[in-house]
Amino acid sequence: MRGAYTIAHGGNPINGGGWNNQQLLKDCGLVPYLLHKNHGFRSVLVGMKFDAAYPYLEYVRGVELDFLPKDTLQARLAYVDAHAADMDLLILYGAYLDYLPLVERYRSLRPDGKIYLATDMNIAWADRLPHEEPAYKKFLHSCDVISASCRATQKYLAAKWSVPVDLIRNGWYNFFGVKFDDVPKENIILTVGRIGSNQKQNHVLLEAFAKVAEALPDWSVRLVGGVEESFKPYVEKYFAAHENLRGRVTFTGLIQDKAALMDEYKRAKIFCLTSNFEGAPNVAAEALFGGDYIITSAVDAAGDLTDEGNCGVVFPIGNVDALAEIFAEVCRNDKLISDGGRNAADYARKQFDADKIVARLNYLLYGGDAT
Amino acid sequence: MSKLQSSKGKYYLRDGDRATLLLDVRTPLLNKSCLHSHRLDKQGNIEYPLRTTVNEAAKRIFLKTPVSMGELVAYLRIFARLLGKPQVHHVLRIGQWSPLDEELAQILPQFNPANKLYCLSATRPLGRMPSVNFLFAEGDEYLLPEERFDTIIFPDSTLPLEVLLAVKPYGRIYFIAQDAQEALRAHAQAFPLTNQFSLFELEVSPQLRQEFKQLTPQGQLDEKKSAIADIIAKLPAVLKKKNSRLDEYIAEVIHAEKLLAEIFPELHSETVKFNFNLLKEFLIDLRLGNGSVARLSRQYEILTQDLIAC
Repeated sequence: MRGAYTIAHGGNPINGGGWNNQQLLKDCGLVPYLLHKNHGFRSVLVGMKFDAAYPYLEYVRGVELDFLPKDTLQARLAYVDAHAADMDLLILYGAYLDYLPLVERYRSLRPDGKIYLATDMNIAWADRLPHEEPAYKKFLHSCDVISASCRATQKYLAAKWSVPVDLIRNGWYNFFGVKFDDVPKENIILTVGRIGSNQKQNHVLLEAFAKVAEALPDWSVRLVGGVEESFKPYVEKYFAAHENLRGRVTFTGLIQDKAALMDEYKRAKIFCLTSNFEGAPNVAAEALFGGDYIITSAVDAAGDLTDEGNCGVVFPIGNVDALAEIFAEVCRNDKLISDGGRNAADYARKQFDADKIVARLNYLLYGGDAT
Repeated sequence: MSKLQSSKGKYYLRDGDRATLLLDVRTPLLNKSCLHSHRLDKQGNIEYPLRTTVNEAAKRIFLKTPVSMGELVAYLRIFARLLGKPQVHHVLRIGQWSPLDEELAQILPQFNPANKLYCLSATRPLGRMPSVNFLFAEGDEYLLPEERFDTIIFPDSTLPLEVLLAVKPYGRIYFIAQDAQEALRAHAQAFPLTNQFSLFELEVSPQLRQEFKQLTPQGQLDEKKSAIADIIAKLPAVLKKKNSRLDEYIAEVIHAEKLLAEIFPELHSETVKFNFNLLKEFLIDLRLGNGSVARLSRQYEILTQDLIAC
């Protein structure tokens, strides 16, 4: 049995140098889980204990969590020293140069081992990386497989970095046995994420909808996710200015139940992403599987999210008027939405199926010896 | 210590009992140069302009610098070549300028008016020297054009790649050394000068040149490009075999992709690395049962065009 160890990046404020419960169902938990479930790996996530409990471990059965005593490089190096013999595969998330000592230690102990670096970053981030510095080159060249999570970033890195860069999308896995053929679609524009964060730019969606709401009286907007405190005053002002939208714009709050969340995607005809930057958002795969027509701002992954126009449309980042025009046109075009939704679901099964994605990763790492 | 000997228009290098023929200016059949082997003067006497010219040059060279036997041997060998074929001959002399070069510069056009002497030196002698074309050496780099010279005279025993490539196929390089570089030994003829030193005459055959070429950055680039193209060209045949050896082929493709990543900055195409990766991705998808031959074939066409373009 091969051992796959995913070591968390140190000092990350989102997860305190470890893994949080939510991440178990995202790519950093999902990939180790499917390596275990489908390919027989022993999968271990290593890092600081961030959450008091990890209830999602129930869904990624077989994945082990190993907690570090301290969020330091020394603690990580000591962990590699202690577990190198079982560590056939080292998985790292994020293209951080400070992984280099860890990579070098691992290489010295396991020259036969494999290193998978999942960059999962947007181009603005990639642009700032010191890709020509010898230490950074050494880091990149130490990795056996380096992935980007969307085509645009992959293409960008392929032209910029001196190593091959593979596409490993953030796929979706049906943890909850969701069925896709029994929910009728409704005239809902859906968005999911940390509502009100600067990155998500949800005000663009709200302003655009306000412009066309009168012309689209049977359409509504649902915003799923925890609402940032800083956004709440804006929401109050928004409803004060658009009193008639109180019943048509709904903030559901965070939906922890993933099956219930998938119901939101299944009900909605349109999924709308208004972010000003994104790598490859996990919500996109969910929306595609939900059969939603995608309307997205021109983030790096826009081409991936819309299958280059087959299942969606792209508008310029922050452009309220352009989004309003798209709403006015798309929401009146049932055929476009239903065809696009079907294309989305079909495209999702082909390109965002996590089982297939992890099988490809496994093959990239081990070729004909892949289990 | 070897000695130079001449007898009836033949020049030898004698080392003990062994004599090596360097040049024969007596036999008209051997002379295809513009310098006539013999002619009649107005009084009907026979003159030997070729023999006279070479003899006088040899004497002058020897008298000027008696220690330069190695260079004289080299010149006699060059003269032998000048007689052998009626081609324009470009000689490059690398290193410190010496009075011998002046002799050579003056005698070369007599064999063929288009013959030229080039001199690559950090310094240039005072006074005009219209018969010599000076090239200037800058630092340690020899920025020489490839396949430009028929003969190169080099002052050192370690020949830089640029010098080896500057000579035309079947051209020759002369250098004085205790021994030739190991890689060159089999291709160099030694003319012993002293107990320790010999003049080496290296003929650069096209095969040898190709070996040198592969050592240059461009040569390595071409070799890798060729290896990559060879692997990609196998794809149609591999697909016909219906996956029987797909794993092996994909391993080759992964290896080729690493080669491509190494040389990518030197290639003209911005997209070839990405297109290569797509081909690999589609191949793996096919291997895992998620792919399509049509999609792979389209990508093969795109990549092939991209590879040709760079």
